[in-house]
Amino acid sequence: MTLHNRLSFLTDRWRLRTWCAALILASLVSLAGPSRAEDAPTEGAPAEAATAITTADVKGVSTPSPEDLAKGDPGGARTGSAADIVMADPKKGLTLTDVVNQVGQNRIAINFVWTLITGYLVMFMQAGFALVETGLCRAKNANHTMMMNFMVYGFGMFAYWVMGFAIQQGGSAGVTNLGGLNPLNNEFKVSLFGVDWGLFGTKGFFLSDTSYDVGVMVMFLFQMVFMDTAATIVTGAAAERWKFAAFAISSMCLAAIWYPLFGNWAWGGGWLSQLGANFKLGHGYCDFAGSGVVHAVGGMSAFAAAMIIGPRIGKYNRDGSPNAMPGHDITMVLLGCFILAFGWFGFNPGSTLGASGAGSLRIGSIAVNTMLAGATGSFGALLYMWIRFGKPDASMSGNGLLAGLVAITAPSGFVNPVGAVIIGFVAGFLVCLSVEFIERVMKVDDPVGATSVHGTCGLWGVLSLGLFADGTSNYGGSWNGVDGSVTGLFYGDPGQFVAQLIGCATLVGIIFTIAYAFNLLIDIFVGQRVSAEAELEGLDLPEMGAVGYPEFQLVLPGTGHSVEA
Amino acid sequence: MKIMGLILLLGGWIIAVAGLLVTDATGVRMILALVGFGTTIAGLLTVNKAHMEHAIWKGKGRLA
Repeated sequence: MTLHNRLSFLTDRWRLRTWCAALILASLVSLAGPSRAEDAPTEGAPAEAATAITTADVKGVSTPSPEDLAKGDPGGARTGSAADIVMADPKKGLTLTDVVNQVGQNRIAINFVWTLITGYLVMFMQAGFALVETGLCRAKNANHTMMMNFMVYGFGMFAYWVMGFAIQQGGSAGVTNLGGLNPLNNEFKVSLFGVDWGLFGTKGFFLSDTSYDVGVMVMFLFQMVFMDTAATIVTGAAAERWKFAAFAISSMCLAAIWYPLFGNWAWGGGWLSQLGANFKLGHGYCDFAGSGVVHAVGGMSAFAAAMIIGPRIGKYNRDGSPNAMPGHDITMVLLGCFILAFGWFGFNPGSTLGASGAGSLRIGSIAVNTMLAGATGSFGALLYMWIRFGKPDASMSGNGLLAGLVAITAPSGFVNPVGAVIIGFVAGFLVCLSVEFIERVMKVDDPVGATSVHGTCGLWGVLSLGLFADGTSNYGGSWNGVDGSVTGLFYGDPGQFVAQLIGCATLVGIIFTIAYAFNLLIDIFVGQRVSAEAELEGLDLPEMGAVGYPEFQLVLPGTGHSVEA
Repeated sequence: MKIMGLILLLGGWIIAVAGLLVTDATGVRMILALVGFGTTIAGLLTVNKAHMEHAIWKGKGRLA
């Protein structure tokens, strides 16, 4: 190295130090505030008024010429300009009104597309549920279990279109992210103790009349796939012995009556959502994406159905001790769990009902919370099973993932990542405890653990919101008609926790009771359970007329007898 | 037993909601909501107990 090079190096180092020193100095100066008196804003002086855009400005905007555009646009710099703004009257040319209207419509368009795409993701969760439930059942019931998961989509959708949507959302006008939903403007209320108690909506039956509206259609699609998630939870708990006709009626009743009722109370402007406005309990019952509305309602219904139908033959011995009845395909189960976890990115972030305006950019933290809680849920369940039984159980790890996702569904929009990790981990433990309690103490046979995953962890999710909501969310400045951010007990608002407790009492006390009463009536008039012969043979042939795996010989465990295809 | 369970289920919900009407104190409301929620769970267990009396694995049910 020559002397000149050495000196040049020193010079460079000196220059670097000088620049660093200047930067630090500049930073300190900027932190300390304006250094010159004339730079400091005068106290009380009005801020500089924003310059209003005029029609002349709009007319003066230059746009790429047709010749330029004909050359192609590999960099994307010329595509999309003022020339693409829709003009109300082309003879007048572009006006300020055109520009402003385009901005408004763009916001709603972004929100429509976001809500629709996330709704499609939620719809795909049906495939996940079908795989999980079928994999956890025995091969002799594969066709029957898969068909229940398949047809619940159609049965549920039809009933929800006829009346469920109107009951749930018929009075929910005012959703600004979707353009207002103004046709859904009538909530049936009763006035008791000086307070209006919203019970159900009355607009939107058959999506006809004024509810034939673009915004209402987007809302219907999104809410319909949520309802279907609740309906498909029940098929898991009652699998391997549920009469298909009874399943069809029960699913339609859920979609038409008790799911929309609770949905209205929580999301449609009903009485639970108004506990904050009417009784000063935080922001009223809050349930961002449906730990309560979707999962606990599904879980309570599943529990009622499983209780009424009774356990599978051979599940319990005469002394009440349970026998393990393993599913036939763990690969289906875990693949289904992955599909569900993917779909959950529609479930939770999609519940902002938009990606533009009113605090919707929180979709980033909602998605991360969803990921984290799912991961820690599976970790919690795996840890429990490993410690308790000596092996990292695959099916319970999958259920742990779902438990974490179920639990974070309600609080996902209101908690921070640390809260999400705790909520998911607790859910992972809780689902294992609940499965054991329901199977061994309550002796209710739930082949897939649906009651524990969705019921128990759904309730935990609702309560966890009342504990962990950190008061940083801001969805347009208010929630449920109460100004400010939703804040839980650990962050200073005990009233929010009380509202969540009342929501849980409603889910167990009212929703379970309605589901139980309807399923009892179906049992009396239709019969919920297949014959013992059909159950022993497997439901595929007696109920569906075709077996799920016709080229395989199925052998009854412990008997050596084959099941004839 | 089933009727008793259903009474507990509905009674628990009434207790939780009644807290809203009888007091403005958040602490008292929280206690009543907890009691109400607990009562609904007791109702759930009671209804289940009624079903267990005729469980098929006991050999007395219709599928025995």
